[in-house]
Order: sequence, then C-alpha cells, then structure tokens
Amino acid sequence: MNTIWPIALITFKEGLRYRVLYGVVVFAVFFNVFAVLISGFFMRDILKITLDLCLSVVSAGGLLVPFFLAVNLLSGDIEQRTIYTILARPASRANYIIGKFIGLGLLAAMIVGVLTCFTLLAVWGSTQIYPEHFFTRLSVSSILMSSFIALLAILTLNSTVVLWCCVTTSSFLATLLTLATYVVGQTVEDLVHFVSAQLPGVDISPTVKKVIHVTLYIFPNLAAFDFKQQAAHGLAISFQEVSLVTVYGFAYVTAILIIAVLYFNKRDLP
Amino acid sequence: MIIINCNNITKSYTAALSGTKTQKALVEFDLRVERGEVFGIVGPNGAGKSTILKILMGFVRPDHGTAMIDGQKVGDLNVRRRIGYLPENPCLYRNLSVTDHLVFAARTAGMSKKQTRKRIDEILQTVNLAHAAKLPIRTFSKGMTQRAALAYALFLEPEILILDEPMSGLDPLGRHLVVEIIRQYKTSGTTIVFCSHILADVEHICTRIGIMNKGVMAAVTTPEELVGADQGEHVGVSRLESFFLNTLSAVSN
Amino acid sequence: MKAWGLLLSFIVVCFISFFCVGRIYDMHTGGEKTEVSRLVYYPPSLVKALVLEFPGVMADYLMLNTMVWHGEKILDKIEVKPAEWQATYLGVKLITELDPRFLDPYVLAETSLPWEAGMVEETNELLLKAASVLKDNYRPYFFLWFNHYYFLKDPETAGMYLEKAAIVPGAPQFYKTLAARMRLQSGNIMSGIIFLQEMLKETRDAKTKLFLQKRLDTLRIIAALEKHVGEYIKQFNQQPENLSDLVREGLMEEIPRDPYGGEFYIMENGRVYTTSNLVQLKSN
Repeated sequence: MNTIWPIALITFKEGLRYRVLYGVVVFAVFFNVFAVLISGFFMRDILKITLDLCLSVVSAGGLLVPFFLAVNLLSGDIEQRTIYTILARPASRANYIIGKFIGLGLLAAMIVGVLTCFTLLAVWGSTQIYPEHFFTRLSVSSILMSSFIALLAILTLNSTVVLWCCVTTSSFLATLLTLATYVVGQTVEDLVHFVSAQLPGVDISPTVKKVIHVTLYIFPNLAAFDFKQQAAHGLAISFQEVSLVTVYGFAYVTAILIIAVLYFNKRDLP
Repeated sequence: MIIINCNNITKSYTAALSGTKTQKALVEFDLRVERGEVFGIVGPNGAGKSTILKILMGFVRPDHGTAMIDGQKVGDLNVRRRIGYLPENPCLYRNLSVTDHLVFAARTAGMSKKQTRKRIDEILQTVNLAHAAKLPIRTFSKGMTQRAALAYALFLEPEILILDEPMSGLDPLGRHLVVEIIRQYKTSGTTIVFCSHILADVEHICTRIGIMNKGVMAAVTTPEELVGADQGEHVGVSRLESFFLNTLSAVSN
Repeated sequence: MKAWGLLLSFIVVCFISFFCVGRIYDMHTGGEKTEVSRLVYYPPSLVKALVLEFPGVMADYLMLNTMVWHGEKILDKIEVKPAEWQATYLGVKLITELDPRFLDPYVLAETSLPWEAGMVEETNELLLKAASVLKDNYRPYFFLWFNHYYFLKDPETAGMYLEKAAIVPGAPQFYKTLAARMRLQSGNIMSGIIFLQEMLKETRDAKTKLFLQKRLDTLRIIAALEKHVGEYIKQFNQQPENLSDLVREGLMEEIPRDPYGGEFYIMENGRVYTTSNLVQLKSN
C-alpha cells in the first residue's frame, strides 16, 4: 500500500490549521482593494498597476509555504519528533519526503489558486470603476499562466526547503538557508549577465566568473519563473518558454528530492 | 521462537557540528525476545532504553551489530507494518485530532472507510477517548495525549508492540487502564517490548525483565525468579526494586 | 475604582497619542512635503537585484513617489533646481529599467524634462528605449518627432519618427498627413500645439490638465501673434519692430498677456517668443 498520498493529506490537513493562512487571505483582500484604488492615481497603465500589485500578492502569499509552513511542517516534524507518528507506519523515508513535498505543494496550490481568484475579482472590480479603454490589453490567460508558473517557482523553492530541513537539525538554520536560496535564485541570472558582459573598467577574475556560472546551475533559477510583468502588460506568454520552464522546474525538483532522500535515508532520527 | 534478535549492537550519538562521537548509548548490546513474550526493560535515565527501541523501529541505525525482527532487518517496511509503536513523549500533531491520526493510519493500511469508522469507534472506547475524538491534541491533558498515542499504536492490531514509557505521566486510573490493555494484548499473544522506570508495573505484567545500565543489559530475570530471590539489604521495597538496586550496585562495583 | 483609573489613563494616553500624531503630521507638511526616493541615486541594476521578483511593484511605487514629488514642485509653482530635475530624470530612468513597458514615466519625462530643464537628449534616450519595447504604441515615436521638430529643430529626423509613429496600429489618422504639412509650415509652434492637444486628450488629472492647458494657451497666443506679424509684413513689406506696432496699425486690439508672466517679443526672423520661456516666472 502506498503511503505517499496519506502523508501528503495529513501534511495538508496540518498546514490548514495554521492561522497565518487566514491572515494571508485578509492581507490579500486588503492589498487587492488597495491596488484597485491606487491604480486610479496613474494616467494610463491602470490595468498594469492593478495586476502588478495583485500578482505580487499571489507570489508573496505563495512564499508563505516555503518560508513558514514548510519549515514548520518539516523541521518541526523532526524537532518535535512527530515524524515518529508517520514513520511508525510502514512509510519509507523516501515516501515521507515525497509525501511531505506533495502536501506542501497542495498548500501552495491552494494559496495561489485562491489569490489568483482574488486577482481576477480585483481586475473585474477595476473594470467597473474605470473606463473601458484602459482594459483593452487584459489577457486572462496570461494572468492564469503567470500564476501557474509562480506556483511552479514555489514548488521549486519548496524542494530546496525539503532538502535544507533534511540536512539541518534546526528550523532556524533551515529558514536561513531557504532565504539565501530564494535571494540567490532570484538574482543569479542577473549576476551571470553582469559577469558575462564585458563592461569597461570592470575586471572580474575568472574564478569568480566560474563560481557564479556554477551557481546558476546549482541554485534554482527562480527569476526564470517570473512572468508577472508579461501578464501585467497583457503580453502573450510564449508556449515554448512556459514548457521549457515547466520541464526545468520538474527536473530540478526531482534532482533535489533525490538528494534529500539519499541524505535522509542515512540520517538518525533520535 | 525468537522474534526479536539484537546482536552485539553498539551505538554512539554524534554531535551535530563537530562530528565527534559524544556518548555511547549502547555497548555490545544483545537482546532476544520470544514470540508472545512481554519483555520489560528497566534502567536508570540514560541507560539506552529508548535507543534500543528506536533501533528496533529503524529510526536510529546502530554503528555495529545487527538487529532483526522475525528474520528481517529492522526498518523493513514489511516488518514495520506489523509493529505498533508508542514513542516516549507522545509525538502527535498538536493541531490535529486523534481521529485525524487514526484516519491516517487507516489510509496507510488501505482500510475501507466503513472499516475505519468502526475501528476508530472501537479503539477510542478502549482508551476511553470517545468524547474527545474530534478535538485537537493540543487541548488534551498529558494523560489523554498518552492514551491517544496508545490508540494510534494499537489501531492496526499489531503483532508486535514497542512501547517507550507507556505509563509515564499517567494518573493511577490511566496507569491501570494501560496495564489492563497490555494484559489484554498479552493474552491475545502479542509480543510486547517496553521500557519503563515504574518498576511495580513492570513486575506485574512482564514475562521477562531486563535491567539496563550504561548501554549494557546488566541482568535478565523473570517474575518467578524474583519471588525466590534474596532481598538483601533493601528492605521495604518491592522484589524487583531490590533486584534492580542489587544489580546496579554489582555493575558499578 | 481600579476600572475607572484604567479608563482614565486610557483616555489620557489616547489624547497624547492623537496630539503627537497631529504635531508630527504638521511638522512634516511644514517644509518639503515629499522626498524623492533615495533609491533613484543607486545604479538601476543594483535596485533591480534588490527587489527580487517584485520590480513591477517597485516601479509603481517609485512612479507614484516621483509623480507626487514632481507634482508638488511643478504644479505648485516652486522653483525646481537642476539637481532636482536630475533626480526626476534618474527616477524615470530607474522606473523604466524596472519595467520598460510602463508608459506613464515616459509621458512624465516628455511633458517636463525637455520643456523646463532642457534635457532633450536625455529624454530622447529614454524614448528610444520605450520605442524598442513598446512596439505597438505610437506615442514614443510621436514624442521623438516632437522633440526633434520643436526642440532640436531637426525636421528631417523628426519626419522619420513621425512616419514610424504613423504606421503603428492605433495611431491617429492625421499623423500621415501631418508630416507633409509640417514641411510646408515654416514655424514650429504648430507642432507644440498638436503635441499639447494630444497630451490633453489623454490626461485625466485636473492639475496636470491646467498645467498643459496653460502651455497650450500660450502657444496659441504665440501662433496668433505670428499670424498677425505675417499680415503686417504682407501689408508693409517689412517686419514690425516690436509687437506694439501691430496694435498701432490696428491689426490687433491689444497684445495679450503671457500666462507665465513674461513678455512676448519678435525675434529677428519674424518669429514670436516670450521672455518667460514657458516657465513660470517667480514674480507671478
């Protein structure tokens, strides 16, 4: 009998009991209303302002999972030994890791889904207030696509959190490492651009260049998952790019989870 | 027939950052338990009681030696399926209810919904928690939590029960309940390994008693042997207690 | 008794809190209302890295900040120092680095920087960036046409940009004929009038509207004056020495006042301009 799905469900259920989730909903409603109102201050790009803010709330709300829930549900599991409850059943450690990852993914999908609905509601509300011609560029499919890819980014980050929680013994350290991964993941592409460009007066040692290039391949390239601006401007998101990013996300997650499982299998859980 | 067989197990814990081995939890430890036996492990704090039980569950890997259950390596999923485990400090999810936990256990065993409901009602009656089935564990008293964890361990009617301090933190009523439950499983032929420092309980329900100290099994005895044993200088304490104290002083000398 | 004491202290601290908030607010509104964000002085690539996956929101925030700051300075007729124009320019540059497709900052730059700070080259640089990303928007090319025509007096380059603007879908129909007309007309006042009319059509903010309207009115006055000068030349075969000649000869009833507080004058080539340079004079 497969134990992955029960573990995912119990993780999801446990995550749902965190009140911070309801805080996110309140925060999102507040922010979306704010977005609709503030966009009126601008001359032309009303739709863009609304979507900028709302889609950022989608991403930020989703980030709650890796930064808060994942660390609590994984490191906390090991620290407080609730993991015994799960491993006392015939669940292998690999199943534990994958089940936890899927459970966290379900939580992220729920948050992103709800916040995307809020975004669409905010846009609809905006069309009721402001003249029609500001919304000629509105593309619901781009909004949905952007949210889907934002979810992929969160899943990718989640996989690294799973790894950090497996290799560290404290949730504080896991949070710090997650934060570092996120920041590096968001900026590494820009850094590579920077060191690759032959800027006059900037001399970068070959070692540094190499290190940064390697970083690009090791850390998740989270910036690649950011389609908020395209969606905000109503540009079509190319199918090729989306599929490439999706395949990248899945491959990366699988690789990281394999490392996590290998390490976790060796680890004592005293 | 031997069902649990631990051979020459040594285990040290490693400090998290320095990687140096700090303390030896088990030293060349042997344990053999027959099918249907109730084996009680007693010993002072830090004797390695919990460690051996965690090795039997596969949570902790021994540095040396082998641990087998029914001819298979510990940690094997087919073995673990047949074990019910009660951890030392009940490690249940604080925000979930006891029913949530039991539903999880049922799902891992592929139980039907109808069967699950029936079994949950049954087990909660047994541990006297039917009134709190839907409440989150964080609202439970320590005794209730312990009973909830016991319900979780017993839920799938395991062949082997591994109980880490099952009586700790319980009031006399709760202790009586747990002792009764263990007795009930003993008569149905379940193999039970448990550790405790409440010697009186151990004396009453075990078929064999092992005394551990500093990672070694200092002595193994039976309740029958205790009846005829010499109490020595320890007067006014139970037979097991005097045997326990004698053994420990013999070891330290 | 205790409850009353508690209630009393609660009321007292509430009053203290309200009083302090009020004072702090007054203190802040006394001098400069808004500060331009310090971020505009950092290299755009650094800011871009710092805002992680939220450059859009940051661009919106900076735009709002620049708009309010700029609005207070310009619309409230406070003299703007060159360093402050530079800050506006850097702000727009940063915003458009964070979100190159954001149209508002380009419009803000175009309606202020070349007019009042003489930063035509800088504005053109921004507009070329806009044109390269906003391929389906005619405005960047329209603005480039205007800058080249009106400020740089380079009708050929200007004409090229206007043709580019005209072929963008959604561009006003008259662009196609405008280029030809511009070549026939000798002055560049008309281009200013067309530009401001276009800007006014898209502006909703009342203050900005007034600001643009004043400029448009002034240009219309100049256009009318130039027309009368032309009539004078036709009639007398020579250029009037100054504008009062037009009144003396009965071509006009009086010389209109410059809304910016300057005085209109005739240049040697027969063109009319004003001493205010279309910037509010302090004496007003």
